Amino acid sequence: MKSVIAKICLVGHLFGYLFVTGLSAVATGCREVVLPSPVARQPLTNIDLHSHIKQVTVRVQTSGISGSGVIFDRLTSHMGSRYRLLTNAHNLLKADTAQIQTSDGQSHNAVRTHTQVLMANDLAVLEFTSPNIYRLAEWSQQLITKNTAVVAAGFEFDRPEVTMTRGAVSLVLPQPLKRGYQLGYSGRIRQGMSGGPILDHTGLLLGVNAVSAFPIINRGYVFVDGTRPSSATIKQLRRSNWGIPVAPYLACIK
Amino acid sequence: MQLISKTFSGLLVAGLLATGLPVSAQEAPAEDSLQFFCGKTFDSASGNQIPTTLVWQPEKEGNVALIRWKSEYFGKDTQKRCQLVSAKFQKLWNSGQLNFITAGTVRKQPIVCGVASEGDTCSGQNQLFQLKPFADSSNLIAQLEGVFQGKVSSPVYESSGGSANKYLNMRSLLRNRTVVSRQAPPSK
Repeated sequence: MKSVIAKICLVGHLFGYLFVTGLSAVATGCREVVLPSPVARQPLTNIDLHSHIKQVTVRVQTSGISGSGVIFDRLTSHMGSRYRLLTNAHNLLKADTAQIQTSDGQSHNAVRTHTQVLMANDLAVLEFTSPNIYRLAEWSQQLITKNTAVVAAGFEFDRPEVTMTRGAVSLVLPQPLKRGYQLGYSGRIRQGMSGGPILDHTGLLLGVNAVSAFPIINRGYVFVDGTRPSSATIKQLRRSNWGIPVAPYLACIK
Repeated sequence: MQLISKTFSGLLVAGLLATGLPVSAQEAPAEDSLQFFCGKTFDSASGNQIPTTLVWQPEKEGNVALIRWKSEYFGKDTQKRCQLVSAKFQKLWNSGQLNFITAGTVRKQPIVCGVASEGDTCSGQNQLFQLKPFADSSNLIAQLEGVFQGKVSSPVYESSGGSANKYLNMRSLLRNRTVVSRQAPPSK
C-alpha cells in the first residue's frame, strides 16, 4: 500500500498546482483530506506569533551550507520523540545527514528521509530524536489566496537569531515552476532562510522559503512542464520571492 | 472557479505562449549594473569577519554573498585572493561570460570558471579561481549556481582542510558568538 501512496505522490508533483488551485480535497490521494469547514482561526498577537515561529524554526547545517527548516511532526516511541522537519533539498545537496539547531540552542543529528517521494521538488524531510518537547507547525489546507498577509522566517547564515519578515502573497502560479516553486510573496528573504516557514497570521504553515526576488540569473524560471516564461512574465516573477506550498507534500509524508 | 483570478489566468496564458528561447543572463537590462566586490561577512566558526565575494544587486538594494574565503591553501592572504577573484567575477560578468559556472582543469590544476553557454569549457581566460587538488567541485558548482538563481541558502564556504565534520563541530561549538554585519558596496 505504501508504494501506491508514493506513486500517487510522485504523479502528484506534476499536478501539484491542481491541489493548490482548488482541487486539493480530491486530488491529494495520499491521505483522506478532510478540508476543515472554514472555522475562522483568530490571528495571533505579534508576541504569540513570534514565539510560535521561534519554536518551530530551526537552523539546518551540512558541510559548508547553512539553511533553515520547520518542525511539522512528532512520532513518539520508547526512545523519546522523533521529530520531522521540512527544509529545501538545495540546503542538503547530496548529503543524507545534517545538524539541526533548535530554538533552545540544542544541536541534533538528523537523517534525511522520504527522498523518493520528494525527488522532483526542492524539498527534503529530516528526522531527529530528542527527549525535549518542541512545538510543531500546523499547516493550512485552505486555498492560498493573493494578498494574504504572511510572515516568513529563517536563520540568516551570519546571524545567530531567527529572522522574521512580513510580506503578502503576490501570486500563486497555476502551473508551478520546476522544483515546486509556486507561492510568490513579498518580504526581505535573506541568505540562510531557505527552508524556513512561510506562515499566515494565525500561525498556520503555508509553505517554505526557497528563492529570493531579483536573482542574478533567470535560469531558474522554468515551468514544471519544461516551458520557459516569456520575458514579460520573467520580469514579473523576478519581483517576488518564491516558496513551495507544503500542504500537498505533507499529506504524502506519513 | 473564480479562485483563479485575472492575474493567474494571464500568467497561465503567458506560460502557454512561452517559447523555448535559450536562456540568457542579459535578458533583464538592470542586471548589467551588478557590482562584484570583496567585502566581509561574519563567520561563526572562527568568530571573525572573513573576506567574502559579494555582489551589489541594485534591484534588490542589497548584496548577495557568493563565496566566503576561509581556505589558506593558496596563501595566508585570503583578503587578496577575495579581491582578485571578485574582480574576475566582474570582468566575466561584463563580457557576458558568467551565464554558467563550471569546473575544469588548466595545466593539471582544478579550476572554476564562468562561461557564456552551456558546454563551453574552462580556459586560462575564463578562470574564476583555482580549487585545491582533489576537491569535489560538484557541490561547490551546484551551490554557487543556486545562489546565482536566488536560492536563499548560504554562500559557498571555501574552507581549508576539507573535512565536513571538522567544520560542523567548530560551528556547533562557536555558533552562539556573532555580530551583525551589513555593508554598502564600495562607492563608485
